[in-house]
Amino acid sequence: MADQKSAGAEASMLEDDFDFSTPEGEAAIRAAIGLVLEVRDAESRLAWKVRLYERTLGLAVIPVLLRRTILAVKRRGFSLRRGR
Amino acid sequence: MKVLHVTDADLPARRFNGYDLLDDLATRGVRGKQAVLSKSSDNPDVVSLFAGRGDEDLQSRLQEVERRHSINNLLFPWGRLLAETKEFRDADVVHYHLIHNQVISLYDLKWLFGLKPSVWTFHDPWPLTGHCVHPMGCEGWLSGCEPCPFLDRLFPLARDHADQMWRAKQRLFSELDLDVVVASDWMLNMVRRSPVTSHLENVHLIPFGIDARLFAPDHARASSRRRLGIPENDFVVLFRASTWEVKGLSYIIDALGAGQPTRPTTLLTLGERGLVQELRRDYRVVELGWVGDEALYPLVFSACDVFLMPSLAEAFGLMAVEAMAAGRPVVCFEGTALPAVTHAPECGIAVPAGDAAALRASVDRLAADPSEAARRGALGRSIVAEDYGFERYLDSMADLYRSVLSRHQSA
Repeated sequence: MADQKSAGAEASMLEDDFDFSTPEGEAAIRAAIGLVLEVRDAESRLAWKVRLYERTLGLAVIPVLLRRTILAVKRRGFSLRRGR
Repeated sequence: MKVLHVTDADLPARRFNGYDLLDDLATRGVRGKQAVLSKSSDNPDVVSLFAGRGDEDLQSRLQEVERRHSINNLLFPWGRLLAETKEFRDADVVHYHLIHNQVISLYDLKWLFGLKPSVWTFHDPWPLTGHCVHPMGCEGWLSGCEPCPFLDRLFPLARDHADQMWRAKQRLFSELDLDVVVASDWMLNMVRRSPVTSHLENVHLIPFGIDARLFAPDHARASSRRRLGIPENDFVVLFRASTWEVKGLSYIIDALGAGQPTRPTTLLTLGERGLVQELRRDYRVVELGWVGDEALYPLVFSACDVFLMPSLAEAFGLMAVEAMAAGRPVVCFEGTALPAVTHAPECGIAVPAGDAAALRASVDRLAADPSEAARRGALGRSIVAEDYGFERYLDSMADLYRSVLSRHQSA
């Protein structure tokens, strides 16, 4: 609660005192846009990694399925031979 | 020659945001591309600046930050991504359209305009004001917007930073070298009067053009009505239904609701649905919504007897010109671009702004006297052929791009 209050106080201080129209305001805004783009790049790289993980997760299951299939086939052949 | 059109969206407002110029200007040797935030067409000549859902979320968050800080069009980063696109690098001229719809930060414009020869169409007075799209009678834009008495107007501000936004624009424009296009004398007059833009030397008056051949001639009225399910003998009043106060729907409701019509009347609406429920008691109502079908759209105008456009502010009024092309009279309010665009009083009918009774009287008069409607309609068609022809528009735009490019090359 205290944190929220201080955050609110900071926000209102910025809004009341900060003049967006001055050259300093312009420089600050342009720097903020640069930061926005940096965050965007970082987020898109993370999103790309998550997508890659999600897509390759399916591939990780294939060796397990293959192994199980081979084992099942082997067991079936073994039981057939014993049956003779 | 390659021209890149930059705007917020491709298909909405395609008739004046550069989209329809992409193919048509090719006949003048101008190859067009368009860059938008979010693309809805499958046109390969349109590139989207949003890379996916993440960017749509980012846009929403930036809108929220701007709202909280009571600023507008300062934080959006898409101008910088625009400059990185192949389409931007390849362009000879960049033509900016509705960039104040949260596309490009005002503070990136000077940098962008320095990279390429640039043209900016002022589709409305926003570049001259502290925050509003249309001042609508307020004259604060002439002296710095301090204080702003209309903070709730589009684009609304929670706290009064209109004066800051106005000063930011004034400083920006004082440093800019660009060509501005306006579509009406009304808008040109505002640009000339504004302390923000009065010094600009290269302001071009180029009214939008339409292909009048698309708008069916008078004898198609019956078939258009059949297609839209409208009784053939009704008097048909067409208007745009919009919740945006600027478009003046409340005056239409007041006018038409002030007593029963003098003859059976159908109200035909374009735009938002469900906004004229109270008129259903006395009128048949056909609400078409937004008509995206390019073949159906002209029939809407052909089906009506009169088009009402009582906007409180309008920098051009393309729909009025479309109604004129279909041979239909237009009724509008004074004080906007529309009286001049519709050549009132000879062709269009302009009544005092906000006067619903006068609006109703005009409708009743046209309903009672089809010959007046026919005379004004015929005059409208000839005015469109003379002043708002599409070929003339294409010639003007191609000439402008060439002159802008050659001036920059020689500089």
